[in-house]
Amino acid sequence: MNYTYIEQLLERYWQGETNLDEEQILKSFFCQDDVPEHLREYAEFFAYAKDSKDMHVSDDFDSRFDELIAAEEGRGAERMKAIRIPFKARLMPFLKAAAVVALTLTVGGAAMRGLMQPEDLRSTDLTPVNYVKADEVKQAIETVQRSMTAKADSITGENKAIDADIKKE
Amino acid sequence: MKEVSFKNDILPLKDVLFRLAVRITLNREDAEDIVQETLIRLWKESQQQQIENIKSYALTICRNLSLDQKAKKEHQTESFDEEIHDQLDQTSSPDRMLENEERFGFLQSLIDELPEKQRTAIQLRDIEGQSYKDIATVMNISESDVKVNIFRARQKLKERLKSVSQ
Repeated sequence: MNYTYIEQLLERYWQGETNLDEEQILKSFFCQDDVPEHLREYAEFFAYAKDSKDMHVSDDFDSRFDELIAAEEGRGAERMKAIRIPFKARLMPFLKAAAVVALTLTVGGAAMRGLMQPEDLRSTDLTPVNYVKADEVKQAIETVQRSMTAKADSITGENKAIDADIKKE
Repeated sequence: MKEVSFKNDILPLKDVLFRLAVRITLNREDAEDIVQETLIRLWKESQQQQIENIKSYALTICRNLSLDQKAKKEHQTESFDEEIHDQLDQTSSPDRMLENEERFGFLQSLIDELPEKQRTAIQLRDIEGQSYKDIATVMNISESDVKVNIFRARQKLKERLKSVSQ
């Protein structure tokens, strides 16, 4: 059998002058069982080149990769959660403080008007009688303020508890 | 703009990327880590911009990561060559791979002994069947430089194969 074509192709291959189709012909030729004796020294090389293309990642690569992606996504979700919850929780003290101020003004104003007679509201002079009534009003307001302060303290305590919960998460 | 599918366009590249990463790092475990990183990067990039040749782009990322890893390893150890060949022996567990390593061990070491550029060029041309143009893109060199690297690599391989058979 004449192997001139293969020999010429092989020579051009070593010179780096073959194209992909010609290189495929060489691989196919050298991967046969009946390669002539004088060309056999190169057969293993082409067999290796062909066989190497079958090398692949480990069988568990896909499952490990899925775990990696899930972990990445989990970390992303955790970051989102950490941002969202404190934002809502941090808004709460302002709302509560505003509510306490509004309640104090409303109740304080109502108590002041309730304890004063219509003529007291008109009168601005501090006669002995008016002075005593004014003292009673002052005491009533102080009582309301004390109860408001106690309420505000308990709300502050609640806020601290919320903050502690957030830090734990 | 063509929408890129991770399952259909990116994940199937894992084996060709793995083979290139092994050829450069000479370590299977490192190569698999590099493939994971390449796939993630490729997916993110494909969501932000249109990639013309996704395979070449993937191979470019993979080669750069492999070179970084290789440089890191070389920096860490004084006797890199000894270490990498030890690692190759330890990590080649499947039976077929062991058989092939016995059969082709000499040829593998022949290619692995080549300088990195020649090794990568031979890997992409003779094993993966890539065009000179695509290899040039992956290696960020001219097509004529690719041809020079392939020519030199083949000449060395030819000489070694001849010397062994005589």
